[in-house]
Amino acid sequence: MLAPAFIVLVVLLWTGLGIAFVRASGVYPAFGMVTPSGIFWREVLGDEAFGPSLWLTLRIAGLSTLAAAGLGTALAFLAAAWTKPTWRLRLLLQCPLYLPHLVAANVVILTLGQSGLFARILHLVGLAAEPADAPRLVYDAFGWGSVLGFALKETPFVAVLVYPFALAALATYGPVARTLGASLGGILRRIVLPMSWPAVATAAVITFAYGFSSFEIPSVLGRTYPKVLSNWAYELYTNVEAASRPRAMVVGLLVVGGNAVLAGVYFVLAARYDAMLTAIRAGKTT
Amino acid sequence: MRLFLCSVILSISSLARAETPAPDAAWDQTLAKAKGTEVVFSSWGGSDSINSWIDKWVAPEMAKRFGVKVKRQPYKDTVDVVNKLTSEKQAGKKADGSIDLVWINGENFKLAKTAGVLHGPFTDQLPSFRQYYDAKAPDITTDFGTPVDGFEAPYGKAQFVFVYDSAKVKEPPRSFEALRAWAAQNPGRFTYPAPPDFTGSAFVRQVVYATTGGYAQYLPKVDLELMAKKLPAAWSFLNAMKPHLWMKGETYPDGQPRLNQLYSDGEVWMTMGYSPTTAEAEMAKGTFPKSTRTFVMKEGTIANTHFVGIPFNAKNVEGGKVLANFLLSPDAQISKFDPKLWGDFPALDPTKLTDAQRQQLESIDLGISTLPVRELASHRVPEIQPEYLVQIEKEWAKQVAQKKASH
Repeated sequence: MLAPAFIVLVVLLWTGLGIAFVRASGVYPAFGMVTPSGIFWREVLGDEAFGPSLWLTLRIAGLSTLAAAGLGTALAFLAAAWTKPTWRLRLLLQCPLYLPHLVAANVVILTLGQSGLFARILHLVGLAAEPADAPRLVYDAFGWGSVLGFALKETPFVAVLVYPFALAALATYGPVARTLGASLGGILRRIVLPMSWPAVATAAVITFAYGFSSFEIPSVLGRTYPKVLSNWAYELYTNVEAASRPRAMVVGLLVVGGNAVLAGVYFVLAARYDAMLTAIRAGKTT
Repeated sequence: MRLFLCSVILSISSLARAETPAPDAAWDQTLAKAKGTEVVFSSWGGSDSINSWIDKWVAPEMAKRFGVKVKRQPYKDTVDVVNKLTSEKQAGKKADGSIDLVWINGENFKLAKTAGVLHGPFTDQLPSFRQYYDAKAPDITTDFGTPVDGFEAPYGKAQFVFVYDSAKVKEPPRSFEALRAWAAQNPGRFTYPAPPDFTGSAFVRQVVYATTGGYAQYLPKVDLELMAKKLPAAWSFLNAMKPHLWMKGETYPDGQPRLNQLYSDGEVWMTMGYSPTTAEAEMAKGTFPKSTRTFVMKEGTIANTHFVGIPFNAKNVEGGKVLANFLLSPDAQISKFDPKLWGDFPALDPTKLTDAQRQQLESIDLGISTLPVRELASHRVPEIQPEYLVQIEKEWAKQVAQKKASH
């Protein structure tokens, strides 16, 4: 049943990766480059732009994941606890998912940029002498603009993933817990949160992997230097110098590698968590 | 069959109306083959005026005159298209490509020509090219020093201009030295797009011309060592200006559209670009203040020709040729020149036009913000070879973008 999907995935993924490795070794027949070498890996890893780029990418992916996981989980719990699961609510939660990342990035500029809504309001109420004097949240050195952009997009994503878990946990154990005298806060903390962990963790891993490799948001909200890894790869790939393309492939492969490590860690932790749950259940039945 | 005959007759009659001097059987065949097809035109998408000229003027005219449907496909940077074609070539996709005509020039043309991803030579087959163009003029036969060899057809001419708001800037700085002083007196009000964006790259190239003793020394041959020796002067100029730029030079706009947006918002008081009439079009749309004007540096500004080429694997080569031929025709070149539509300077040779056509061309009002054609012409400097471009862009990243601003 899964064979066609599996074959497509394996063929596309592994041949794609294979070609990327070949190109990263500098083999580009169209530009007359045919001898493989490791020089492009050394060039990228030794480039003074590499460290700052990696650090910026990790910072943006990490902080936006923390924000999205926290806010998204809270949003899902609120929705599960205080409203009925109507189609309107689902629609409300899902709607932001259809907002393209590019649009989210421009929303951040229009609201938080130096000539954006936020700056103009600060100027109007007299907190900033000129709109341009408002605090700098876009194109900033730290990467707050990108963190906000990702958080804006991924919070609803986390909420949509966590919501069914929270709802099921509440429906199954909520009434019992309540008759036993538990408060709503207690129920959310001690029943709903532990039962939602798998969804929260999965959503967080996907969010991080996305933030680590995604292009649009940091491309619009980021600085000329340093650039996040994906933007740096694009800059190298679109350079008119042919020899710049293998370097782009190296950066792309480093992004893939980072995500592979993350996925590995996640699978190990998930397996341990499952084993722990099985052990608890086994303990209860005996 | 009847339909086919009809179409041949129709296309021949439309050709007759276009005043072609000699019958051209091969071209008639091209027209007949192209009729009823769709042609995909890959074009820089960063300007609303250009996009709407293609969608609202070129496309309907092509449908009406030749029965060809034009589909515009925007790109952010021409190199994206060259990369795509190169990947397709390496993957063995020799036919059935997704682009039939691409707007291209300069370093991207050189890259595409080197990689062999352009169809051609084809320009000699275009009646418009044979009739209205000076096939021997240096700005038609070469593109940034690369021989064109018939692999791209001249689409228009561009000259770099600076754009300023005359309500805020009483007297624009008409030299690079004056620009540096102006930036220091008006902190945060000037910036330029980060190379390798083509507008930013052109700005930096002009700084290189101005601070290293002019362009002439680089023209005879590519001498990267000479350039390397000269570049530090340009970097010290730009780094001295850096703390006074928008955002204190800590970051730069990623292209002309973003810089124009900053100008529209009043964050910066100057912008720049390769089109001498750009300000006119933006004022007409209401995005630029009515007090917008343009100027050129006393050192001169870069002028170049831009072209259209046909990809090696174009699905509709005939359609690509018919569109190219139409874009090169006096009708399209004159329409394109109107700043209310686009304002791109014609690439054709005005002396080859009929009197009526020449009058039509001369009667176009270039608007209050466009410099007189004579002033532009007397401030024209050429492009240098693509190898220099790569070197300058790379060094700019290291010596300017990655350097902390000095205080």
